[in-house]
Amino acid sequence: MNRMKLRISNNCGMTLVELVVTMAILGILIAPIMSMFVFSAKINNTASNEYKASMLAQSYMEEIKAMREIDTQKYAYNSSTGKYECLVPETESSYGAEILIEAGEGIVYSIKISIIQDTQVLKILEGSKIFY
Amino acid sequence: MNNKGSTMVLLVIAMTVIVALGVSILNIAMMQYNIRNYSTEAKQLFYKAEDGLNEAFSDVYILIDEAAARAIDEAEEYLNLYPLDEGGAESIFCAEFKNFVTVNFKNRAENSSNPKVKIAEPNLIFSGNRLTAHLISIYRTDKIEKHVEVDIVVLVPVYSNVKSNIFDASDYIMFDNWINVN
Repeated sequence: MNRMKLRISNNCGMTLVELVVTMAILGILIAPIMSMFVFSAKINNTASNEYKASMLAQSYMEEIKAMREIDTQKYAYNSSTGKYECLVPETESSYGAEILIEAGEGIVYSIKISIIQDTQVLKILEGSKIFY
Repeated sequence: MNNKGSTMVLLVIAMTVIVALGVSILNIAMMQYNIRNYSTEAKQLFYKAEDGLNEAFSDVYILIDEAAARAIDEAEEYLNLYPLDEGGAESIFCAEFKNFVTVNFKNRAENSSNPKVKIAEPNLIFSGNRLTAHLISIYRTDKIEKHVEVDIVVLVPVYSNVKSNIFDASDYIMFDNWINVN
């Protein structure tokens, strides 16, 4: 009976020590794993931003492709660059855009759409359209 | 009961679960990133392939102008010889226009660079006063290839309009049946 009591008393505080050691190890190991989650979130955010930008660029492109002639109210002709230009200012909730239409060979006009976020060009989409 | 090390076992299990979760989430995020990148690139390539068709259209547009000018010259030469035969001059105009367009269409519209533009028909023939050519434009990168197809329709201009200088090539050329293959 005395031996039994001795054994129990020998285990006192053992689980607590194990728990503390475990928590310490977990704390050390969890940091790089958490960075993996943060990295995933960042990638997801970048992909989402770029996708939204490309969708926006496509909508601008299709708008131009649907025009029978260049809408000079919206795309003002800049005589110094020889291009039709439209600048969409950036706001807190939406991307900015710079749209350039330039006469190329023959009756083909080249179109360049740059989507802007935080004054950086996020996406460029290029195409062409025939105007005569 | 000997419980020594049981917490460590639990720790190992918990860590394994968290790492597996982290790796799978990272994997999903990367996959989504790649899919969106692919989609964005495919969009750009579609427009590049379309550029090839626009350039071909522009070249054929110029060809129509040249063909009309050449055909009217031939018709006028004929009229100098036979001033009263307007019908004959019109026939010569039509024949010369058709001949000039069919002979030069391929080398004007086709392009062997990127985007590559080719004509599906081995021989182009006017059916009545209408020529239809099926153009295929292919833009290639290392990863993606984009095909866009369209018919370019050319009509023979009205002789009297060309003669009286009220001819506009845009009235005699058009796109038809746009197809985005992949």
